[in-house]
Amino acid sequence: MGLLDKFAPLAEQYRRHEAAGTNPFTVAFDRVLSPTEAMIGDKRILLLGTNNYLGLTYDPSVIDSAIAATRSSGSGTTGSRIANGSYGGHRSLERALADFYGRKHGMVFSTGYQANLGIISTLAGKNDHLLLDADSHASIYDGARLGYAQVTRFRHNSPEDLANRLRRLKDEPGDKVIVVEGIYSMLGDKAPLREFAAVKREYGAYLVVDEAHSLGVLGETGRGLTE
Amino acid sequence: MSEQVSDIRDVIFGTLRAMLPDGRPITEQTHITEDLGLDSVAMMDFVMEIEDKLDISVPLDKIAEVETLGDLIATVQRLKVTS
Repeated sequence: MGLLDKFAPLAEQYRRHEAAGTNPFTVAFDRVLSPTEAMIGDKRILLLGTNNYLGLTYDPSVIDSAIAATRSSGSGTTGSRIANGSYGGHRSLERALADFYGRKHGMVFSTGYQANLGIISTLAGKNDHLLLDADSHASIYDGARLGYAQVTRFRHNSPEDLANRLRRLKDEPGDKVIVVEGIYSMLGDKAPLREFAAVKREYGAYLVVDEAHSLGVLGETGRGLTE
Repeated sequence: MSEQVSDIRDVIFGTLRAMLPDGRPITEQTHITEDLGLDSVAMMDFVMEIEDKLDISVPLDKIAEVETLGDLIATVQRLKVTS
C-alpha cells in the first residue's frame, strides 16, 4: 500500500469528470474582463459563481487605492502582525468596518475561510459548546474542529431543534456558542435570525452570524441580516 | 442495562431500514459507509433522526469515531447513560 493509494476512488471520479468535460479544476481563464465576464480562448463566458456581489474588483477608485497602497507600502506585509506589527492602513480598515457595523472592534483576515477558523476556534474554548447549523459552510466546520469545544449540529434553519439541543446541554458547564449564516453559501437561503436570537436569549447562549454573503446584500442599509 | 441496549438497537436498525429501500440485511458488524454506502450527508441525516428519537445530541467528534452500527449503538448508549 502506497501513501496515495487511498485516493484511487477520488482519482477515478476526477477521470470521469475529465472525460465528461465537467472537471472544475481544469477551468482556467485566459483573461478576466469584468466582475461578470471572462474569456477562455476566444469564448466569452459569464462568471456566475463568484462572491463578487458588489462588483468592486473593477471599481476605478478601488483599483486606484490598491495601486497607491502597493506603491507606498509594497506588495505584501511579509509576516504576521504579532511579529512585525500592524500596518496603519489595516488598522484604519478595521476601525472603518467596526464603525460601519456599529461595533466596538473589528479584525480583518485575508479570507473568509480564515476568519471562521480564527473566530470560531477562539471563541469556544475547551469546556464550551459549539452549536452549528447542519448546512454550515466547510470553514465553520473546520473552525469547530480546530478548537477544543464540543460540537453539536442542529437541523438547518430550525430554531426548535436548536432549542432542543440547548435544553439537552442546559446542565452542562461552559458557554454555548451558536453559529449561523446570514445567507447560506450552499443553499442561498436566509437564517430565521429573530427566532434564533430568541432561543439564544432563553438559554443564555451566544450567537455568531457569518455575514460573508449578506454584507451589502441584506438589510436596509446593507449591513447584513442582523440589520 | 441490556434492555436499554436492545431498545437503542431497535431504534437504530428501524431508522436505517426506513432509510434503505432495498431491505438488505444489517447487523452490528455492518460498516455504515462501506457496506451501506451512506455518504456524509446521509450519515448526518441518519444520526439526526436517531438523536430526535432518543432525545440526545451526538457530538461531531463522537460521530467521526463511528464505523459500524455496533460502534454507533455503543456511542449512543454511553451518551444515554450520562444524560
